Amino acid sequence: MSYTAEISRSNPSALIFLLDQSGSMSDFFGASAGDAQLRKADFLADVVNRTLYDLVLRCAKADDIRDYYKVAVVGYGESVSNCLTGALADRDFVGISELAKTPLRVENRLKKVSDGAGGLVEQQVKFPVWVDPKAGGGTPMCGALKNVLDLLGRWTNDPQHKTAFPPTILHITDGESTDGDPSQITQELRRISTSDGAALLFNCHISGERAVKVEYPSSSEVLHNQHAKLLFDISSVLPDSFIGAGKQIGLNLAAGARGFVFNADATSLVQFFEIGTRPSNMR
Amino acid sequence: MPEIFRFTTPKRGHERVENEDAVFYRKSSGLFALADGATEGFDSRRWATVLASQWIRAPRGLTGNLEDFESFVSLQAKTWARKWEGAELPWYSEAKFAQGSFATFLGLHLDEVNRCFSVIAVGDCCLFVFNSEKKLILAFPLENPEDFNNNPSLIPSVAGERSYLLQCREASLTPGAAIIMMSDAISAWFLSSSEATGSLASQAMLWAALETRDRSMLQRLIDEERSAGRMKNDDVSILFLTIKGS
Repeated sequence: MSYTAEISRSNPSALIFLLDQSGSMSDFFGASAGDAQLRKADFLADVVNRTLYDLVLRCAKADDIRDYYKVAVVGYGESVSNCLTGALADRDFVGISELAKTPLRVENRLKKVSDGAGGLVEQQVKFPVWVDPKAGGGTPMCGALKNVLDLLGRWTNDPQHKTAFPPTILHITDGESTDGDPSQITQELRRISTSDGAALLFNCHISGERAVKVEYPSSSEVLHNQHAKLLFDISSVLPDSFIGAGKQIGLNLAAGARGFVFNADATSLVQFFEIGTRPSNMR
Repeated sequence: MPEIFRFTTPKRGHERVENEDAVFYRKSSGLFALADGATEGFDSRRWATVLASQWIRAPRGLTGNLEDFESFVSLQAKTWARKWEGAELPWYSEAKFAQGSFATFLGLHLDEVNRCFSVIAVGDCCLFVFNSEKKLILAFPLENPEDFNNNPSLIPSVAGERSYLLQCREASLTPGAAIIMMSDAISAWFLSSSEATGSLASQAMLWAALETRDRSMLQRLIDEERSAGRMKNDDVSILFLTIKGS
């Protein structure tokens, strides 16, 4: 059975966040009323940082952090580049333990938590930042996917990774590619595999307009524009454990559902990252 | 008093100190406890140990009284947290500590004089009762291999972090009965090998190993079943009790 490999220190899994950092990412979300104040790039950076935080915590034990995951964060806009900077700038993948110890900075933010008596209080929490928002330039999606293809090629050539849980790519974009049709290169990407299955590419399209969102469809029939159909075609089917992750957060996903959201609003974006990173046969 | 055999082994690839199961008993009181710490928790090994070792001293919640059990848990949570108070922790350990620890739990009180027992459970550690012919007469709290998943009910060390379900059962004991308490991976394996044809050999091997207290045979069986993918790679703990005949 595919997508059932154990994720462990000796058999870590690769996670890649691929982030559109084109000029239009400086626009606001517009899909739902509450989103109007959020710039797409700012919110995306926050969600990525929050996801990395959750991954660190998931891997942390009392006395150390276990490298269950190796992470890469790639951005594309003016150029294709590693979004992890500073000490982590020239690395392919970074283990979770190293990530935990090298945030760019740790901010103090206020979070509303339950006071145990039916009310909410504000609590100061530490918010580590690894990725800062960025927006500018075009949308060189093919160049970015080629970069990811090279990264994963190196990953799977390492004999240590032969039996790993397949690499998962979470791609967030707000527009169409400006350097060609990414279908071809995506096919190559999805041919990369370990003994547990092919690499997974999940795509989340975020919208600056008030538009109806489509979440995890099983067929492209529900999509009415070419760009959406293209993204659907290049999205992997969600394996069972991801469907399970969706159920855990209240989304009832049909068998055959693709890891694809079109016109996502802020809530969908958060859920996309949760589903994409939650499955874990961690040992 | 029953005859008791206790066995615990960590996940393949882990050291003994990384085993997050805890098995404790107090023979004179007929009290037996098994707790399985969740891998994703902070210091889960210790949480499981605190729960199991303290419950056999003061077995709360036996009649299924949730409030009684919750007050026991809350006391143990304070004990658990004390170790880390004042500790200088990096941001991630501090945040993880705030989330706390989680464990499943199985507690048994055996009353041999009155030939009965009561058991409580949170999560998927299981109790199996066999008559003198090794026929399974009770599986508690789970009866089917499909009932096992990645989301068992868990006891949190941080109050309110999540709610859990406390289940209980009381029944009589027949002379010559055997009781086995097992953590989830081997419980699920046992139930699925009971259903599957062609698995009689591995069940027989389990009984042989338990009855002869042969730890290396038991380890070999577990290793084989893990390699074959029939048993999840997880910590395994077993408490095997044989009740005397009349």
